[in-house]
Amino acid sequence: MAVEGDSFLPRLQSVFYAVFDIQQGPKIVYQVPEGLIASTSTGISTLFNFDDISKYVIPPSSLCGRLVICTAGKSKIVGFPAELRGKYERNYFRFNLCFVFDRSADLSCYEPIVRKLSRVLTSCEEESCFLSSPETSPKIYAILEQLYEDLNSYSETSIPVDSFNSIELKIFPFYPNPPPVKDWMVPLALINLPKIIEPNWDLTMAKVCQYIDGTNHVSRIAHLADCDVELTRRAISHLLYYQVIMTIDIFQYSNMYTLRKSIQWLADEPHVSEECGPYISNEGRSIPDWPKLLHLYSRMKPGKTVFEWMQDHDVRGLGIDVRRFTSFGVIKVCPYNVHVQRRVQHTTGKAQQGAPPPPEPALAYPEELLPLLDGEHHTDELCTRFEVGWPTLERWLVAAGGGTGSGDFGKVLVIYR
Amino acid sequence: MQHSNGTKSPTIDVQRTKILLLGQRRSGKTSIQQVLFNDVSPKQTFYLEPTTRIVKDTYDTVIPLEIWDCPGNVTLDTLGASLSDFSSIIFVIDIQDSYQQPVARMLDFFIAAYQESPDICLEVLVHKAEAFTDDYKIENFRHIQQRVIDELLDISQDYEQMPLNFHLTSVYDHSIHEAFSRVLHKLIDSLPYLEDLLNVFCANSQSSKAFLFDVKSRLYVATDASPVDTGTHNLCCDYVKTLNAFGPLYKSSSSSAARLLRDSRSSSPSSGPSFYPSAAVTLAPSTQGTTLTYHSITPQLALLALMHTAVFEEQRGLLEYNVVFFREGVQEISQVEKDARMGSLVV
Amino acid sequence: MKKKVLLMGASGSGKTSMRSLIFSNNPASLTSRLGATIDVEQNHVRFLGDLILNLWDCGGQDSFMDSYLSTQRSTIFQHVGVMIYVFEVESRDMPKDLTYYRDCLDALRKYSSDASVFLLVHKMDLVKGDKGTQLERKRRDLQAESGDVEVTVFGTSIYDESLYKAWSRIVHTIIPNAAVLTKHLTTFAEACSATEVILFERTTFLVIATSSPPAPPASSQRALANGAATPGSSSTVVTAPTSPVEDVHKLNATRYERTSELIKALKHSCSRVREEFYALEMELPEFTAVLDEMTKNTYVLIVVHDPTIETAALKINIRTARQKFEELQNDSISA
Repeated sequence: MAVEGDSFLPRLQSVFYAVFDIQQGPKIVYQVPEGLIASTSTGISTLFNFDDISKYVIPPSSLCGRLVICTAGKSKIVGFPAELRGKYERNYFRFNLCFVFDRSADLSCYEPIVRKLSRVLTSCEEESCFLSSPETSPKIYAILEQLYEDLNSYSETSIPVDSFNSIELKIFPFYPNPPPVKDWMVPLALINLPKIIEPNWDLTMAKVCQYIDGTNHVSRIAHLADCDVELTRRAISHLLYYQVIMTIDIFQYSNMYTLRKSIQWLADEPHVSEECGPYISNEGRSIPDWPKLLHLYSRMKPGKTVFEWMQDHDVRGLGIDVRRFTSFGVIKVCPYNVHVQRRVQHTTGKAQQGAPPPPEPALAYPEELLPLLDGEHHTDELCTRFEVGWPTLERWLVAAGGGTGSGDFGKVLVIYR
Repeated sequence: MQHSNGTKSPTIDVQRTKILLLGQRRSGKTSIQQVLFNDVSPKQTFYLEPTTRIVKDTYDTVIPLEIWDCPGNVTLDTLGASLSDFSSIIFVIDIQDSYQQPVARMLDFFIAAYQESPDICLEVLVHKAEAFTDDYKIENFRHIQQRVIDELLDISQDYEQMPLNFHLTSVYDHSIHEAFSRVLHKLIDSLPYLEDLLNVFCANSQSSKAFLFDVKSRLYVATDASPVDTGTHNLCCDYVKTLNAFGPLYKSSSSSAARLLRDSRSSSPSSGPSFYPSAAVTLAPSTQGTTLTYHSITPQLALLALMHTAVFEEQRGLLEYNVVFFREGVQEISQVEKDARMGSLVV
Repeated sequence: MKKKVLLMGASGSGKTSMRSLIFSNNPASLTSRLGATIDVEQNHVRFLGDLILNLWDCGGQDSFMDSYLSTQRSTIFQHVGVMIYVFEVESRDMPKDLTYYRDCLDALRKYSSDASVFLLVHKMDLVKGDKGTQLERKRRDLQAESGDVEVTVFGTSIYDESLYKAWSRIVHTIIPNAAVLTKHLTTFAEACSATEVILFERTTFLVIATSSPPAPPASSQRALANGAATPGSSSTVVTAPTSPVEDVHKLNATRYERTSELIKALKHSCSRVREEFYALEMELPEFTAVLDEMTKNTYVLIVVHDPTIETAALKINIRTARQKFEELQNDSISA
């Protein structure tokens, strides 16, 4: 599903296995390639000195069972120290299989690998004392060798440990977690979603995908697809994780947009200019030329709603689908930064107790609206929550603030961010 | 005048209640006997030599006991006494041992004893429980119990009624004390009377629990009718142990002896000691707390009672008064027991 | 800067076990469950309420020892008040232990030259045969090994009172003005007609101070001489029986540490039934005694041999003396 090409996988510099020795303390038992890490303070080391990091390799109990990453010299060491309780001489057996990388490496793709290795070795030890018994522990060296070779060469490996356990690893590029999905977000497909749907897909996912069209916001999709809204959010979030969709704001004529700097070089990109015209034009109308479109984009500015902008430039007359025009702007070339973050705040907060009560509202609005006017919620959110459009919400806000309308909200302050 | 004072010299003219201590080699018989009656610390039992011949130990508590500690290879023939002479037979099984041999040998003894005297008390101590974790030892204990009963019924269905008692024990905690206390209870004829006395004492002194302890062995001879909570029992055991250990620590070579003299002079010049040691440990500082009192009753026995600290502090007079009557009662029962044993010999 | 108490010694010599026993109220039987100490475990042990012992339990594995003596040298050995070095009586590798010990001593001399050094010959319970002679031999060896550094050697075991004796001595060097407490305890003992009064720390039950032995009423002359000798000589407190006064009672020499051990065991029994030990009074054939709270951080044991003294009277005396001792203790610690 990955759209973006495989990220660069960091190269393993060394793999080592360390234990807590009852007499000697933390020590490296095996390392591959040999001799890169010095074990005594006087030793000559290519990478770093083990003493410097031993307290992070074999740490106190509180750090065991957690991913521990430390840096020494030009190296970054990642390990997952494990501590086993049992019939050992000092009641505990502690070990850690660590990977060494360049200091600047991004290790996110190795984290699951290190966790899994620690898990597999722990269960080997629990089942057969694989690590602590002197008969089987020398096998660890071969495991290290194979890990080092295979992960560097093939990014995957399969190492049988004993008759019950084996190490099966494959390195995947790592994606960061997407931001939380909100009900008012509008998902927009970046690839042809219906084409990749398979029959064994999650049911909610299959249903949700049908309604992702760049217009419907999350809660509407849930409604249309007849799915639970929480499941819908998770499906969207899943799609976001694999970067096959992105989210934009609800398109309304009252939105405002502003330009970003990147428009400067995008203006000269031929593929952008070629794609834009056909996409934004209404069917059957002639396609405006690129400089004209660019001019239209450049006229969007803060303080000017889409509606006003349309009137000023007779956009309708040009045969432009305004929704597509803005979403192309927002997605494809990113010359825009969406700025419809109208946060609303009721200026007569509870703190001003001496203030006279607001005049009788001309229009009934939901009581739950008032507490939400704290500057933390923006109008898209309010629209989706009360399932009304901006015109209605605007009238409510005017009523709540006791203003006269058409831009005057009285005591309700609209903050544009 | 005959006065039992806990010395080891066997007073031949008393009829003693005999207990037979059996078990395989190294199952822990002598350790049990030494820990309970000779004040040997559990750790020291490690160094005990194996018993090679039958050792008869006497111990005087509310009744005079004679404990026969046998070597592991003793048989009915080499025992040199009839099984009917014994009031109780204790067989010790090491929980870590293989069970086949000991169980077979134990049943030989038990069946023989049962045939001679069906009323005999048969006790099985599943011993050295400290070797296993809690879950595992209980599992093993059940396993042994089941196995013994199965094998017994395999021999004959008639033995279904055989009164076997099982105890899970270890010298490293209080389980051996609790188990042996229960063994002892069955041997004390006057037990119901002692229990009655304790019940009356508890009711009148607002005590929630009272034990009559044998001070030296830390076995409890009797307790009131309320159920025995292991935690409380263990605390009482430890408390008696602490007091036993405290005595010699601050013994003054010049002044300690004089204490007893003064007291016996001041009180009635009649027989018996009149200084009765006592102690009280208070738990938790508030008035909500409990106090565990200790009152010496006879040279061997002490009364331990648990009560609210508030009761102890406000009604101490009443408590002491009740103790005096309790003491008289116990002493009377002991005297009757003693007379009976002396008398039976004459008859 | 709080002075440190360093707890050092070879791996498995029993450092953490003794710490657990003295400061965490765990019974000896539980120490077998402890794991090896990783690097240095720093503990701030509250002692006597406001006195904080900065206890550094140093893992004894070779690589840790090497690092204490090299890269961490100044961190470890600076501001040390007391160094406790634990030797296993039957050590696997005594020459190695001694090499590390000498190195530690060198470092200590450099960074904290005024620190007291206590050597514990531990696990004495494992010695077969004559413990006394074996300990004496060890003591001589260790003293020779220490050169001109003044060291105090104790034979200890977690299974008996010897550990309390050693630790009572150790904490005694840390408590400022313990001699003042001794003086007041002596006065208090006189007021109670007591043979002896002993002050314990509340959580560890280590002995803080005891009264001086009472002067025999017959010769006031000698009592005076004794009184003059007492202040300032801190050793009087724990070695009371060796005082020049003829000891008429001949009390058991190990009574203090035995008492610590017994009460700790009783406290532990209480905690097992989720009760908290509070006070104890005894009228035993040998003596009468009350063990009760003195200040919020101490317990007092009054031992009386006079049979006419009632425990209730002793309790009243304790109640009356409480405030005075509370003040004394505050002065003593803040000093």
